[in-house]
Amino acid sequence: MLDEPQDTGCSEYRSLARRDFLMRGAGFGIAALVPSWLPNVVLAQSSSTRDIIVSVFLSGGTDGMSLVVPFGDPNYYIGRPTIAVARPDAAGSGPKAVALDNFFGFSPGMAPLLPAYTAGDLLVAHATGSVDTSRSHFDAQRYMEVGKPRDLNLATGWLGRHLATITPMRTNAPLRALGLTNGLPQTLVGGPKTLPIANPANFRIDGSATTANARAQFLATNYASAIDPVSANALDTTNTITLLQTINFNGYTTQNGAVYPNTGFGNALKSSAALIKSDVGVEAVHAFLGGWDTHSLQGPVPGLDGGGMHNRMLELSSTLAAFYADVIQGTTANGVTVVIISEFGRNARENGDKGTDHGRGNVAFAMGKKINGGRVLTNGWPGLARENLESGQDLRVTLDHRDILAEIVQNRLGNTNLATVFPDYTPRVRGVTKV
Amino acid sequence: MTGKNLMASPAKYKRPFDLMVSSLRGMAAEVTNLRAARGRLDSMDMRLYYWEQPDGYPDQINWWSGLTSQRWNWATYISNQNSATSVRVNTTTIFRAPLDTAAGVVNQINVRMFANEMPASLKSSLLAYLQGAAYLEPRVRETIALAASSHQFQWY
Repeated sequence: MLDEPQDTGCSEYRSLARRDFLMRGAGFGIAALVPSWLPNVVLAQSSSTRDIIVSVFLSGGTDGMSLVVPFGDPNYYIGRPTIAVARPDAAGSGPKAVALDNFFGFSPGMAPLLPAYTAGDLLVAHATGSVDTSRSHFDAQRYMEVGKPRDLNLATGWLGRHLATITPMRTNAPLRALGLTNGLPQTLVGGPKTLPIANPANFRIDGSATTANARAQFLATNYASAIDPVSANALDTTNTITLLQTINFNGYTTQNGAVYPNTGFGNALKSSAALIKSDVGVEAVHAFLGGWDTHSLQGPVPGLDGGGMHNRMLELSSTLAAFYADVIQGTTANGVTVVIISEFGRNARENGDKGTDHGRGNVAFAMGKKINGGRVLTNGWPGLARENLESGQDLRVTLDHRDILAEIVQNRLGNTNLATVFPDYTPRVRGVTKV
Repeated sequence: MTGKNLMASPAKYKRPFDLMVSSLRGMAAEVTNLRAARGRLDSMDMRLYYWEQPDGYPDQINWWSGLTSQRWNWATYISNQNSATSVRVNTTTIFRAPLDTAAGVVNQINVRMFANEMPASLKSSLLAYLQGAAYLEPRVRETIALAASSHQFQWY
């Protein structure tokens, strides 16, 4: 869960008595920036071939078997008599899966991603997830975001540790990573020059424009004597405000006719596109898309039970398809890799309320020009027959999601410090990236 | 819990709700209708009762400390409220009295918002800011906002 057994007064602050705190000042500052958790790693060197990463977390535990339908497994239809997505070759004119191969297919709501898939730039991984068996949203998401299961003491995120163990893409970049989120996502914790910025187009200091610079200067000076992370965040904020004012987010023109949905997620990725194309040194973006906790009336296809999940899939796929056309097929100084994961999948069988409950194995996606896509990657489809299900109810996890992330970190983000990014785990090469 | 225990307890970084309450108290805001101010709390990313998980908003500094601009903008917003029907920060009676001078205002900020424990460095920099332009109401309110934005005000 997000609230670890530590409070706002972390160990650094516990050493400061309240009264002492107000009296201290200049002794704490930017020098305290080196994270104490960082082991003695050799910072991976920057390379012009490094990709920018866009990480998307589908919070709520998305039903991977509705996003990417295992229509070749007859037990899928036995377990889901009312909410299964029909085979591509099913009779009738109703909604059907769109075949990706002879076993898996996109739900109709995922069809906008077909061009990226057929171009070989979108990889689907199935029966993937965490080795941790928790069906708690909070625990499972936390472990996914920190990149190490069952470790409540690890506070930093896998992407934050990546950023902390590699030289910046651009020296002196004021902003290396951002969460398009309310608060800093766990995934990014530990990353230097990393901020939560829900709307980059609106990131500024309010009040009189006449005095804005003077007030910003006052605050920059004031926060220079704060302790970290408060001081570092403030410095990053003032620098980032200046940086983002140079980018025309509202007037951003997409490439290749890309049209982003006018939704929170659509606008978040559109802003990401503007930021990436402005080439200001941002090298990681993290976003969430929630609403996947479909316990009842799941509606994975249009017209079924309100089609709630179908609409959510459309938002996801239309946004990613726009980003694909605009950014991945567009012109950028660096390559861009997108990775999409969720905390867990859902039960193989539907429940009594036309929904699905918390499960295990799920799908994940990776997209980019250097992603070995156009296929559904599995480590052997575990099958949906009851005897093959985990605990008799869930698709087994046969592919650790860290294998996908680690290969991207090493081959696309140019960071060989995998032991720090994914502690106590030896990733296996799954051919996620192109050689 | 003794006073000594309390004084020895670690400083905690105010979450947005804490910051909102302490700002309203420190500025002796007259609250008639808090709806608009609560809306600003939303923009500080702590919309009440909207944390989807059953365990409440994170109580970790890492989650909140990056929201610096939102906190600064909150301070600017609330210090500029002067409405009889929603929220009023009455600078005339609270900050510009008993002495309606730059030094008098900074002193009142110290008393009202910092329990008379404002560090000297902050006091002098606020005074310098206030004296950096004509002594007018907007400048006074900006100075109050800067005090509420200062890193020293972000802890309790």
